[in-house]
Amino acid sequence: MCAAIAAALLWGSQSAADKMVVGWVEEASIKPENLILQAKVDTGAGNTSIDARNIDFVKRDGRRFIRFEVDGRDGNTVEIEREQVGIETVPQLSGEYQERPLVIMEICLGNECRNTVVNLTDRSRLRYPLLIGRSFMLDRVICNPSARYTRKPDR
Amino acid sequence: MKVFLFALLIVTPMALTVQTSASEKTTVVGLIEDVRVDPGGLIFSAKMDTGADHSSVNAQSIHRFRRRGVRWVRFDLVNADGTTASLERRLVRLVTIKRSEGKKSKRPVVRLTICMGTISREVEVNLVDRSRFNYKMLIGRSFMEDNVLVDPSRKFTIEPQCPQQPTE
Repeated sequence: MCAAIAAALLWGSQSAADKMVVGWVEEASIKPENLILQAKVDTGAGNTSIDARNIDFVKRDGRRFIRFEVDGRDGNTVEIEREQVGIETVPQLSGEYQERPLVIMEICLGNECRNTVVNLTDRSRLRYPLLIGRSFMLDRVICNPSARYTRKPDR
Repeated sequence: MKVFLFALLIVTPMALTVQTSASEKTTVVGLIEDVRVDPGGLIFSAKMDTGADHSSVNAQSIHRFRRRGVRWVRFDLVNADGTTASLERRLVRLVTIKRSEGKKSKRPVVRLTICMGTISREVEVNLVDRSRFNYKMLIGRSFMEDNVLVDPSRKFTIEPQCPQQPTE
């Protein structure tokens, strides 16, 4: 499963000179919907998470898809559908476990776009609807914790 | 603008230190680095957490008290080896943490000096119980501000090399 996800990310090989420097807050865009979101770039997070509402599971041709809604920076609500690639089990402080579905989304910072494994969760009480973790950064992104909004989303 | 950004992308990542202006140098650190905490001199393998405002460190036996009307905290810093440093610091503030089921707890914040590579800064640090985590210390943005960049694909790239602080 992990190998399949890694292959799907389509990154190719990278040399040290190809790293992108971003701030700790950026405006990210989701393709192909061109949804603009404020994103927190968090080296302390392993995974990338998005604030997803009204999650529905749909089966087509024996494959499982997830339909969900995301509120964009401009106050618009966008419906997104992606194939489910897995499920993540997250232990809670209460001792219970929360299950978060996983999808692959094309996330762009400026004009640099990467296919990323994203978990769908409730971030409604948090400041930033998109949390970009190490699953996006891998070995191609460096974070500058004293910079914000270093690149405009490419429309 | 695009040409400038493109040129910057080529030039910037080529070295471990980067010139951002005539007098400034930036340092690129990995996701995990050994840092020294003073007072006490304890070494922690710390995770760089750009998602956190401030740093956090594993502290046990936390007791708050007053001395001549001023609030203090007595606590033991404990690293992953189990090495302990018993310290007393002035309380900077208390952060109220809301847990599930409505329970609240108060987390003390003190000032500690952190040394990472050749960078030594006194910053605010949250005293928390990190005994069940792999990394007993998190480094937040208030330490990293000004010229520290994080490359999360690397680990243990530098050792603490600040001049030793005189013991208190």
